Amino acid sequence: MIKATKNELYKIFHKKFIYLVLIITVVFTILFGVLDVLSNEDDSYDNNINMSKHSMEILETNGLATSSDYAYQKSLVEMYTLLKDRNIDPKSPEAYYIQNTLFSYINQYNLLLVENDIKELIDNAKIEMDKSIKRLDNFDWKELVQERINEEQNQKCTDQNCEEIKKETIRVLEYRINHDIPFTNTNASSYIEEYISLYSQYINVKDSNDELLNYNDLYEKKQLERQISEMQYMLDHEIYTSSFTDANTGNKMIDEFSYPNVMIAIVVIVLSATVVSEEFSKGTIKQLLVKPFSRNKIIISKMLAVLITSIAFTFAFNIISTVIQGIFEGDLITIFGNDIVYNFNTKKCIEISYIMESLIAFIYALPMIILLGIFVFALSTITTNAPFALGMGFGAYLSESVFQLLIRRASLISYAPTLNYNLSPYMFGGINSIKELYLSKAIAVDLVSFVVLFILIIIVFNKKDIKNQ
Amino acid sequence: MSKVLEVKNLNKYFGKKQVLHDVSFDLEEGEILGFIGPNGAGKTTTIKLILGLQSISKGEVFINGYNVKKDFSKAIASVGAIVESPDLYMYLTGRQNLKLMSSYYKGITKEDIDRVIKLVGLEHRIDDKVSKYSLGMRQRLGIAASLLHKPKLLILDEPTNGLDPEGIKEMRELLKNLAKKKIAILISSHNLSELESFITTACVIQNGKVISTSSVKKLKQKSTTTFKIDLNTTKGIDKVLNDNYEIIDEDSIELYVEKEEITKYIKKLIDNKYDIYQVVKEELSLEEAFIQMTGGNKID
Repeated sequence: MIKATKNELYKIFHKKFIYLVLIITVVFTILFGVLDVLSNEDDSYDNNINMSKHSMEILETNGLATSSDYAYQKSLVEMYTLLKDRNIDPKSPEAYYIQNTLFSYINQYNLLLVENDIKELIDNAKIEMDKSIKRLDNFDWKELVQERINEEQNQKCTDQNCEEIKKETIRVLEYRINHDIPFTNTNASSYIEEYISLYSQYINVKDSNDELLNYNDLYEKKQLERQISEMQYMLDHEIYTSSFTDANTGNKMIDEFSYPNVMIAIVVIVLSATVVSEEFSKGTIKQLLVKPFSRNKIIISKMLAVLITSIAFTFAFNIISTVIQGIFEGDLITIFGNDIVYNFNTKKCIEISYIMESLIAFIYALPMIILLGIFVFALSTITTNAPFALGMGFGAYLSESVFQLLIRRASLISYAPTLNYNLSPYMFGGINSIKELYLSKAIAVDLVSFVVLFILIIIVFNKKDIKNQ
Repeated sequence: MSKVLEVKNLNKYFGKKQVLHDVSFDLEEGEILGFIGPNGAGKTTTIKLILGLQSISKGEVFINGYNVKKDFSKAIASVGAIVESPDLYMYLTGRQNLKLMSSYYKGITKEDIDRVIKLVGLEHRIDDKVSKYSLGMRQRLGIAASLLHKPKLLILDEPTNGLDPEGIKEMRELLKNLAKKKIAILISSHNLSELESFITTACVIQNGKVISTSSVKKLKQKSTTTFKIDLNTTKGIDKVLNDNYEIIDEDSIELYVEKEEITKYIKKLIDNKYDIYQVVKEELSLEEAFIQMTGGNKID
């Protein structure tokens, strides 16, 4: 059997097809990387000033010099000029302060100005604005955070949820001071902001009874629990990156492994469709069948060869595209780091290396590769018609999204193998977003489909008469 | 001599249609059996049944004493075959093809591969892709592949298809040499004249039935011989001879008689005042012999 499988692999790897797909992959990934770099906007202060000035000119020529849009663009010009004149680092707390707090004062003042409002109002706005600008001279971000803490503390709450959100907001603001994380345009800062906004969503569903919730709400609740838990874990461990805040190359690698890409599907389908039918159409099957090997051995060795090639290709494909993406993003090193993973069963977070997580994701996605392959393989063995098997294979691959839409109308569709062959939603105790789909059903459907197709292939191939040409 | 191949009462149905009716024949080592019949007579089907490529509806096939149905792997291990056309992987080179085929058997060495390459004379082109080969070269590579494991039985289905006369001649020599090494060869063809000079036995199949099997020597002996006689005139010859002759032109005839009787006929002609210039014994082709034997059924 090993020998026969080796021979099948020898044949597969002497064809140009796989290498062609790999080359196309490399070319396209590099092309996308280059396009991404090219399309990155020039985010310099000068460029922003010029863009806003240009917008102002257009508004002026169209007689809209008194509109709120005009005021907004004017404020932008002034804000960026301020940033530029003071030579402020875009990632500094000052920059964040100018772009958020100070900008709203500038915009307020300009709005009143262009609308030619009451002088008193305009003067007041100017005083507020100047006061805010003055703060820059002796800028202390901790003072600002403390002010916000005071504001929160003074806020009156009427219900329990509001109290909890207030408590958590104050906690996180104090966390900023203690951990030296000012409000900035950096991952860590925006990450903490995102945490607070998710926490307020979470607090509303936290105490709801799971059994009384409808499935969608339950699903949302579990996802929120997961996100909150992950973020809390990261705050506790002073890690400020996650798949929510920014997808680094490590996260992208896991995504690649969780859902076999269309290129992988092409390779699996084409290999499965041709490895038997080509031997029939070229007549070489006769030469193979007069060797001292049973037909079972011959067909199983072919299946194994397709499986091994598909797995090898998946790894090669994912690694190549990850490496190229990582090079373009400049964070290839992240793939050797750890990811925080939430376990839905224990409701706790664990740290796991991106590489290990990718392997686990791959194992959960493996039924998809195997079933897609064996389905096309069976069709190709039964009909020895490669185009037919190819067509059906791509149809099956695409059917997943169609079935997902139809499942609401006919729950029987939930037994479709293509809806059940990728187990990655169930990783670490996760649940599917569709009520009718769950892990035990998926495993049962996958096993039954596999066994039925396998037996069918064996029976058909053993009974097959090699027709005369 | 031991029997290498025994085909016993082979029957094959495609649906309700019976395509083979009790086909039987044997093959011994060193024997070259010509399996002859028109296109569609059942030659390829019979070969496919022998090789397990199609299921046997009824009957049995033994190769080297092993039943093909029950002991397939053992039976087929000593067979080399080309069915319909040499089945090669076009995207591999000749040598890669041979390497691949050899890995299905135990103990085939690099020397064995070189030996068969030399045997079929493909040394110079063996590392080219098969897609660049001519049909004749593919045929030769196909034979090389089927000889790799030193089979006791070689089955060649229409191996001369697409070969030029030179190629056919080379193949003939190759097969004769193989037969000397005690390999039993089953070779099918719709063209008897290509085979007659080297086969030892002929088996004729028509409409799925074997209509005769016999040794070529016997066949030729049994039949009448043709003599071409040149004489001064053919006028009035109908009064001298019976109807066992044909007039070729005004001064020559063809006479069909047993070899031993020719003197009697020459004497008769001389007695009737005919001048005889030349008597030539014409070789009877196997095909003509068959036509005589099967009562005028044309083979092709």
